[in-house]
Amino acid sequence: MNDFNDERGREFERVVAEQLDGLYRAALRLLGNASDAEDAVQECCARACNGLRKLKSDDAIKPWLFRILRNVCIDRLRWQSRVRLVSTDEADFAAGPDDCRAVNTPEQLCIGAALGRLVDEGMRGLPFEQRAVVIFVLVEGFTYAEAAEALQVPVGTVRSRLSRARAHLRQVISSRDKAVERAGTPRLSRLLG
Amino acid sequence: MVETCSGFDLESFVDGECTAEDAAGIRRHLAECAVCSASVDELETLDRLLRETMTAEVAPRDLRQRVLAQVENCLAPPSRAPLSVGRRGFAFAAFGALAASAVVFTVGPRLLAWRESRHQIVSTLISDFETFLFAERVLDFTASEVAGAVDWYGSKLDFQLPAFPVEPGGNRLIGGRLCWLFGRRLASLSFEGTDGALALYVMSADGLALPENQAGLDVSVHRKGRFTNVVWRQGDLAIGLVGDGPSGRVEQVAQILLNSMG
Ligand SMILES: [Zn+2]
Repeated sequence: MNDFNDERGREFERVVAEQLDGLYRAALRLLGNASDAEDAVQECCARACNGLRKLKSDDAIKPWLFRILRNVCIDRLRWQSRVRLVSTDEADFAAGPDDCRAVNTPEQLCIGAALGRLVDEGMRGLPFEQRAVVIFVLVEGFTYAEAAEALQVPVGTVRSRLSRARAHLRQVISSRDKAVERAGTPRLSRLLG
Repeated sequence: MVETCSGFDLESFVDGECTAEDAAGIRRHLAECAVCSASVDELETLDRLLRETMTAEVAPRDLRQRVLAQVENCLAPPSRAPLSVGRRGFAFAAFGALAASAVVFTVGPRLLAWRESRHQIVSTLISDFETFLFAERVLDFTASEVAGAVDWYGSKLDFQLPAFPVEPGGNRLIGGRLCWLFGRRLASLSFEGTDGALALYVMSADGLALPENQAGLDVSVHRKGRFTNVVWRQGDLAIGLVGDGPSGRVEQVAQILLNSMG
């Protein structure tokens, strides 16, 4: 018990502090609004705290934490589908300032905001589980094995979901990107390349 | 799938999920194939766009503080005897008279916006209640009579649990839990009604920040999502009534409790 408190407990605290932004971002993308995301992160950490003693000593905390978060988000969406529609507040996503006049390098930031909106749109068009794979692997840097652990699916499923999600995102972003190009703005690949 | 010549898994390559051998093969191929090379560029550009856009979001500072405090609290539990779960069969004692007293509510509750509230008692009690519901946790004891509950807590609390109606507003007492929050022991009594569940949290008010009240009001009502938390002080005790379902119902039960417990 003392060993647990001193070592595992401190490690847990450190991982939570380190991963908090990632947990929040993931919840924001999975649930669609900031207030639900905050609640989900809190509940995730509460569940994790209470379950920490059941975690095996050599189990990695990070994928386990995200697995709990995913379950919390699913519970919440299930509940919400019973009591109310999931509201998506666009303003909750910090994709970039819409008001270009307010910033120093207006042109760049405007393009950034436009791309941010494309990413939002692309992400919202993905099924929950594909969105989760994109967040875990591409944003939070999980290996396929870690993502498989967090999502409780085989590695092959992670691979195929990620591939489908990428195809969808590429399609959404590049179709609009061409429209942006026609409007006289440089293309995405050149912007970032 | 990404356009590729002959079954090269470029996505796994970009994700660093290939064997060293496969990666070397793909690298050799990329040196001489413009199509696959462009596909890899496109994948990397897309990934970078997604990463850069989505890592711009960070957790609000107050969320960070709340969560870290919660974790600290949780990792330092009180030394207490193990709880027996699901004890049944308490002696009956009548508290019906209290339940029947429908006293007119004279203290107007003040509605505070959730976002403005920085009081742990508001958010933590809601979180605890919500977690309790979602996780389908078991009660520490079951009781359908007040005396059973008072008995069970006995010396486990460092305050005297006040008498309360057994069925406030038609919500039935089903049992309770002993919680550890805000560095103190709490009684959490569970009620069940037709409109949802309720939990009555009773704790010592010692050193606990309660929401400030204006104009002499001593009850505050907080709403968050489908949850309502009515918080008040009663002598040396701080009390929170959390419930889901219609907010008006939780407030109504709070009024009955406030009047009968005083
Ligand atoms: Zn090729």
